[in-house]
Amino acid sequence: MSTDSEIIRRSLEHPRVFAELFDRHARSVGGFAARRIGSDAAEDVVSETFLVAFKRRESFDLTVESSVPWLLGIASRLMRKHRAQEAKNWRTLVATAGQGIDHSHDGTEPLIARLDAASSTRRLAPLIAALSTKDRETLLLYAWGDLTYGETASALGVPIGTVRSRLNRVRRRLDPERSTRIEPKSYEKEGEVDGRFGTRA
Amino acid sequence: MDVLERVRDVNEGVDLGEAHYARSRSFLMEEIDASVSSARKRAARRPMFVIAGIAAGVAAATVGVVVVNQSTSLSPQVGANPVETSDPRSPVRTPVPTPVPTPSSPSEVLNSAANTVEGLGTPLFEPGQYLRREWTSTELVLSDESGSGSWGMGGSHQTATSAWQLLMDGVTYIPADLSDTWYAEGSAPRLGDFYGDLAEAYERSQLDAATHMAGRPLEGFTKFAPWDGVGETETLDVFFASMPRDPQELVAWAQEFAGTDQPGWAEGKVGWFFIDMLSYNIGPPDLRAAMYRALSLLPGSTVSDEVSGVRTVTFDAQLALSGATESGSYRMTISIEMSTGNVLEVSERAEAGIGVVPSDVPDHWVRYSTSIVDSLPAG
Repeated sequence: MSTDSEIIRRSLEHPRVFAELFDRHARSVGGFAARRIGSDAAEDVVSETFLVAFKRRESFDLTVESSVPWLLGIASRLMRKHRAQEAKNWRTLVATAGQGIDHSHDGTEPLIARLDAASSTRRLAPLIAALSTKDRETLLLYAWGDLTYGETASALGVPIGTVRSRLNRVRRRLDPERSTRIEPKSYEKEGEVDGRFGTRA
Repeated sequence: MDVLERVRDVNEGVDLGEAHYARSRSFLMEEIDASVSSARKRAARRPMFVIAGIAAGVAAATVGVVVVNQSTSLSPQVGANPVETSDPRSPVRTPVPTPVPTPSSPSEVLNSAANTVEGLGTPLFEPGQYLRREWTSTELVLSDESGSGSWGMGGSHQTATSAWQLLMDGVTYIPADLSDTWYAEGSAPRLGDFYGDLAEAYERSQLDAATHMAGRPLEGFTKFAPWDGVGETETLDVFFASMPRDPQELVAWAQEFAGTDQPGWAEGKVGWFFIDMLSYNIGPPDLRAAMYRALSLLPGSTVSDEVSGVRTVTFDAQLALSGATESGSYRMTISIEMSTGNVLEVSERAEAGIGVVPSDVPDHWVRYSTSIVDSLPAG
């Protein structure tokens, strides 16, 4: 099976090959975008993400096998144009969390899982919505995009230390208990915590 | 559980439907095909520089390109199709009387178009309105044992044993503010004429992926700058604003911007870039005028007689790259409605006289019709 970088390399000579990358990752980008800004706007983001990626494919680092961080990074930047839609989406999410769960469901574990998810959404959604754009972007690439710290840094074009400091700041914001025992404030400065938070992150 | 892990549960399970992905894929493939056409244009102009260099070395007085033919029409399809003027119900610009003498040379025609565009100024185009740009295109697909593709993108007139046309049409709605959302819709490709081994052409065209592309429903998109390196999401209006207005400077700017990594590469981009940009029939009038004047500086052009107020300028080159698939002639045309300065048709044809496709059948041909509408179509 071809790696993403192999597909991109081939697409430089045979542009239509780039469709393989769409077939492989459109759902990752689409799901990520839909969770953030809703289905209608997400479709536009998917289209634009792959179009931008196609136009910029010569700049893709062919030593990197997976293009997912690159694609999600493009999608994240494009979604900045949809801030109003994202805010609306978060409000809706908070308002509707827990609705529609079938409490008579036969399978106990799935029901518990879904209640847990609803609980997480109800509690965390307003806190996530209140994060700064950069922090939220970083958090969602990591948590929803399922990227590692390094991949998140690559997607955003920032040092990995910046990702660590942002996510530690997010932890404090989302988990008040943890914030009472977290590190000194000086560690918050982006880019200066690389290595020091490594074992905790 | 770490709080970040709990975030993974938030809003889980939300996704797009298959129809969303199908539309996005269709959109992407359309854009890829458009890029294939652009890439071919870039490749096509490279030989012009080579010849220019040879000519300069042999005789300084020799122009850089060989005028293959003084005829005015590229092909029966182009020439036989009566050129439509802008939609009279809602013209982009009001045609003006032209008391000046009829221009006779390509340079005069292009400069006349520049003067018209400049004189008419900005189209009456208000916020909320759209420029409705209807297009009809014909793309030639060349096929040999190794596969099928347009010329310069895997297809070659020299090796093709069969060929067929893909016909498409569609509409682009361009907002008054170019940074706003653009909208476009297009038909699925249809098969046109077949050439060479007709049985083979029919069989291979049925297998060609392009023939299986779906049409594209009306959907919005952001129009980015046409070239890489101008900012990741820079929009067309920003790009237009950055372009110089002096024709000489504009040519130099475009050459520098395009890069000079290959002999002739930048110069080739310049010509096709201006034609492509002008074919939007949108943008600052002073810039459009400058692009017409910049085109007039390029060598190897001839011009047709006026037909229904339209002049067609043809740029010819004699290709001479070492690669066997890129030798032969290359021709591009731009048809201009002289009363408005609007571009009505563009076309290109490589390797005329070689292979199974008649010389007068273009590799790519597009016709445009523009008008201003108050809103997007309902639904």
